[in-house]
Amino acid sequence: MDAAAKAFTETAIAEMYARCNENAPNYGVSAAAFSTSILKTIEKRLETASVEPLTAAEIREFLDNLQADDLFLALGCAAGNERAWWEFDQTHRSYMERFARHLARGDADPDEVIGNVYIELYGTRVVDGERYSKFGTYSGRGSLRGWLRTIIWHSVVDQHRAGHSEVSLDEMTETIGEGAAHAAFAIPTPDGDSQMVEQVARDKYRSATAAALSEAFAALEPHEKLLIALYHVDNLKLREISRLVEDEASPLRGWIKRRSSAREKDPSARIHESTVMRWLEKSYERILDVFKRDLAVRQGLNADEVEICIGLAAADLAGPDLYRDLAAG
Amino acid sequence: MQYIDNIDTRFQDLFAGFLRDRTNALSASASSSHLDEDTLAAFVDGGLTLREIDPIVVHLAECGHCRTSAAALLRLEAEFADIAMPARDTQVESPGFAEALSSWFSQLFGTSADGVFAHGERSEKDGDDDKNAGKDDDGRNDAE
Repeated sequence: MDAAAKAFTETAIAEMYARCNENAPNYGVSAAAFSTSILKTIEKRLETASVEPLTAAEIREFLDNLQADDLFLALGCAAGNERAWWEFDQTHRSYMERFARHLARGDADPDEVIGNVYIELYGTRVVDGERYSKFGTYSGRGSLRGWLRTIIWHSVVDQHRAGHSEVSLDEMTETIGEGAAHAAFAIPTPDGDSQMVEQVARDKYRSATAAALSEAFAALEPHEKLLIALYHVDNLKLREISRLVEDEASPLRGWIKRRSSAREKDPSARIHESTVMRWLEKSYERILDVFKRDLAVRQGLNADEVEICIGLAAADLAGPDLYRDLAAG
Repeated sequence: MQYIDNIDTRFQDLFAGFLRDRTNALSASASSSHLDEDTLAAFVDGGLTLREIDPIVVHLAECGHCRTSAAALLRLEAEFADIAMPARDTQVESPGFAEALSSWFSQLFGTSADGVFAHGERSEKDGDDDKNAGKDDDGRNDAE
C-alpha cells in the first residue's frame, strides 16, 4: 500500500469509527482496536489476494462493503463488553435459535448447538494470557448474521458427525469420493473373444470421451466451472444461484459479467433465474463445442463414433447422486 | 435433474457425471487447506471485493468440500431470507440483563456472570487490545 492509499485508508477508518462509536459508545471498542482489525484484514485478505499492488480504489471498495456496525459489535463482544453482549443477544439470539432448530431437524439438539456456539463466541480457551473469542475471526466482510449462520452450520455438522461416528467432512468426502469413483468406472470383466473385442472398442471410446471432457472442462473459465458445479454437482436451484449475483453491487456478479463474453445490455438489470440459465446455457454450448471438436479433430472420430462416446460414457457415469446426499446432510 | 434448454440432455448427464467424478477424485487426493468460516460467509453474503473473488472462485471451482459448504449455506440463506425477525424492544434497559445472562452463563460455564465478565472488565481497561482480531479459526485455514 503506498503512502496516499495509506493516508486515505486511515482517514476512512477514522470516520467509520467515529460513526460507529457515536451509535454505540458503550461497547468499549477503542479506535486502535477497530483500526487494527480492519488493517489486519486488508493486509491478510486484500493484499495477498493478488500479486498486483493494492490500489486506493480497491481499498475504497473494501471499506464501502465493510459491515462496520457489525464489526464494531463483534469487537465489543470479543473483548467481553457487557453492553455489546446484551445487544448481540437481543439482536441475534432468537434468529440463531430458529436457524439451529431448522438445521437440527431432530438430528442434533438445537439448544446444545446454540450453547456450544455461545461458548465458542465468548471463548474459553486462553492463549498467551488472552481469551480467544470466536468473534475475533469476524472481519466484517459479510453480515454478522451470515457469519453466524456459517458458525452454526459448522457446529451442527460437527454434532451430526459426532453422533454418526464420522470423523470429519473431509473424510466423508473422501470415502464418498472413492466409492463414487469405483461406481463410475466399474468395467465388467470380458468373457470370450467377441466380448473382448467389444471391450477394447468400449475402452477406446471411453478413453477418448474422458480426454475430450477434460479438454472441455479445461477450456472453461473458473466462474463457469463454479456455476456448473454448483448447479450439477451440488444441485443448487437456479433461484439459489441467482441469489449470489442478484444484487447489483455483488462483486461476483460484476466479476462474472466482466469475464462473460455475453455482455448484458442493461448492467443494472436484476439478475433472475433466467439470466443464470442463460449463463449456464452458454457455458454448456461451449463445453459441447470443445468436446465434439476434440473428438472429431484431435482424436479423428466420425459423427457416429462421437454418438457412441456420449452414449457409453453417459451409461457409465449414471449412478447415485452421492453429492446431493452429502450437501443435504 | 433439471436440464438447461436446448442442450443435449445426455451430454448434460455426461458432463455432470464427469464433474462429480472429478470433484470426488480431487477431494480424495486434496491435502490443501480450505476456506475459513469468515471467507465462506463473506462469499455467500456477497461481501468480497473483486480483488478477493478471483482466488476464491478458483478454489471453489476445484474444492468440492468448500463448495458443498457454500452450496449448503446458499440454500439456507435462501430459505431464511424471507423469515421476518420479531421486532426488538429497544426500550428494554440493560439492568435485568446481568441477571438473565448470569443464569445463561451459569448453565454454560457453571459459573456466574460476574466471573465471566471479569474478562470484560479487564479488556475494557485495556481498550485498545485486539489481539484476537484477524486470527483464523484453528480448525479451518484460509486457502487464499
